[in-house]
Amino acid sequence: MAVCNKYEKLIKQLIAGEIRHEDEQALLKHIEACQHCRQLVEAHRQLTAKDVNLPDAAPEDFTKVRQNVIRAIRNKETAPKITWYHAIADYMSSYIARPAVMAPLAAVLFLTGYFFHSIILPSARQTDSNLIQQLKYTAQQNTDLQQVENSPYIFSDVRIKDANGDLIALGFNVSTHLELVRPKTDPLVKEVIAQAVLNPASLGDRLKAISYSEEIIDPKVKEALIFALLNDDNLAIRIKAITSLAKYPFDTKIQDALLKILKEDQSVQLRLLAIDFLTNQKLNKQTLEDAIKNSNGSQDAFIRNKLYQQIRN
Amino acid sequence: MEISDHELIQQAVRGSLESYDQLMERYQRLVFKVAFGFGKNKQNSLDITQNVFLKAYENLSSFKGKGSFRAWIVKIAYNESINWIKKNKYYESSELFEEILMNHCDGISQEDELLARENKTQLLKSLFALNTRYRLAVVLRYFNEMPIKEISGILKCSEGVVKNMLYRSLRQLKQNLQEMSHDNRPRRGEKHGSLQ
Repeated sequence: MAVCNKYEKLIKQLIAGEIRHEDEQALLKHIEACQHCRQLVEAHRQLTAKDVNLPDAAPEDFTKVRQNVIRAIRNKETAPKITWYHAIADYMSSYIARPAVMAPLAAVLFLTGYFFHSIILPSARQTDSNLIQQLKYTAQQNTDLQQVENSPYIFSDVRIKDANGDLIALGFNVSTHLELVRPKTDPLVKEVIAQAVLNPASLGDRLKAISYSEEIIDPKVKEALIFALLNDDNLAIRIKAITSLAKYPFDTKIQDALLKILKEDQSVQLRLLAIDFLTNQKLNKQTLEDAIKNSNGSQDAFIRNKLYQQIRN
Repeated sequence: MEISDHELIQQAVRGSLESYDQLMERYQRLVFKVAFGFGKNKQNSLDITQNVFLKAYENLSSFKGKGSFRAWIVKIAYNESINWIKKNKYYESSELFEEILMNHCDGISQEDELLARENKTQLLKSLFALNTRYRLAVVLRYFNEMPIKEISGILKCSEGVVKNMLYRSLRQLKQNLQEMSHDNRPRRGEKHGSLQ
C-alpha cells in the first residue's frame, strides 16, 4: 500500500484529465502488478468510456416538462394566493364528517377563529393584500428610470415618515390603468362611470362617460350627473348631463336640481331645457311659477314667456 | 448570434415566459442527468427536473449573475433531488437499471451481453450507493464531463477536495462492487447533504 500512495496522486490527475503522458505510462505499468490501483483505474475507464451512461429523455419528454412548468407558472401568477389560514381551514374540513373529533376541536377553532379574525387577519390583510403584492412585484421589475416612468402604477400624495429602527412609514395614493369587460350591471362599472363624470378628465372622455350613464340607471351615477349639472364649469357637460337625467325616473332630487337651474342659473339654454324637462313631468304650475317669479337672471322676460307658453300647452 | 444566458434571465425576470422556455431548453439535459443520479429512473428524474425549473423560476430574480447559471441550476437540481429522496425514502425501484442497460448492449453475443449487463448493473448499483455529495461529483464529472474547477464552484470546495472526492468515490465503487460480488452484504445506506 505504501507504494500505492505514490500512485494515488497520479490517479487523481488521471481523474481530473491533467496527467502527463510519462506519468500515465508509469501508472499503467504499476497497475499491471497492483490489483488495488488497477480496479480504480478500471472503474475510471468504465465511467469515462461511457460503458455505462445515464439515459437521456426523449425530446417530447422534455417538451412536456417545459410545458408543465410554463403552465404552472401561469396558474400561480393568476390564481389567488393561498394563505396559511386557508390551508388550515382546508385541512380541518376533512374532519367535519367525524363529530367525535369535531366536538373538542370546535371550541379550539372558535377561540382560534376569534383570535385570527380580531387580531391576525386584519394585519395580514393590511400587509399582504393583493394590491401591495402587485406593487412590490412591479417595483422589483422596474430597474431603470424609463421603466419607472412607464410603470402601470402612479403614486401621488406621497407622505414619508421615519418609523422604528430600519423601518419607514409610507403613505400614498396609487392609481393604475386596467382594462376589463364587465356586465353593465356590475357595481364596478357604475363606480367607474360615476367617477368618470366627476373627475377632471378631458371634455371628450367626460361626455362619453355621461353618454354611457344613460344606459346604467344607478343612484350613484344619477347623483354624479346632478352634481355635474349644477357645478361643472363646462356648459356642454351640463347640457349633456341634463339630457341624460331625462332618461332617469323623475324624482325629487332631479326636480330640485332642475328648479334650481330654472331659478338662478345664468345659462338661458339650460333654463329652457329645464322648463322642457319639468313641464313634461306635469309638475305643479304654481311650483314652476314660484321658481321663476323671484328670479333676476339674464333674459328673465324671455324665460318667463317661454314658461307660460309651455304651461298653456 | 445566440442570445446569452444573462439576457434570457433578464427577459424572463421581466415576465417573458418564451425566454424562460429557451433557458430551460438549454439546461434540460444537464438537470435531467443530475436528477437521474438520485431519481434512479426516467419518470422520477423528469418529475425532479420539472420541480427544479419551477424552483429556479421562483428564485430567478435572486440570481445575481456572479457565477454561471449552469452552476446555479445544478445546485438547485442537487437540492431538489435531496428533497425528493427525503420525500420518497421508502422508494425502491425494481426496474431501476433496465432502461439504462437497454441502450448499451447492442452488437455483442448473448453470453457477452449477459456479462456486460451484470457488470454495468453492479457498477450502477454501487454508484447509487455512494454518499449523495460524492454521487453528484461523479455525475457531474463522468456523465456531464464538467471540469474539476466548475465542480469545485458548485460544491463550494477547492479543486483538490473535488479530486479527493472523486478518488474516494472510485475507491468506494470498487469496494461496493467487491461487497456485492463476494460477500453479498446489504447495500450501504444513503447519507444526505445539502448545498447552500
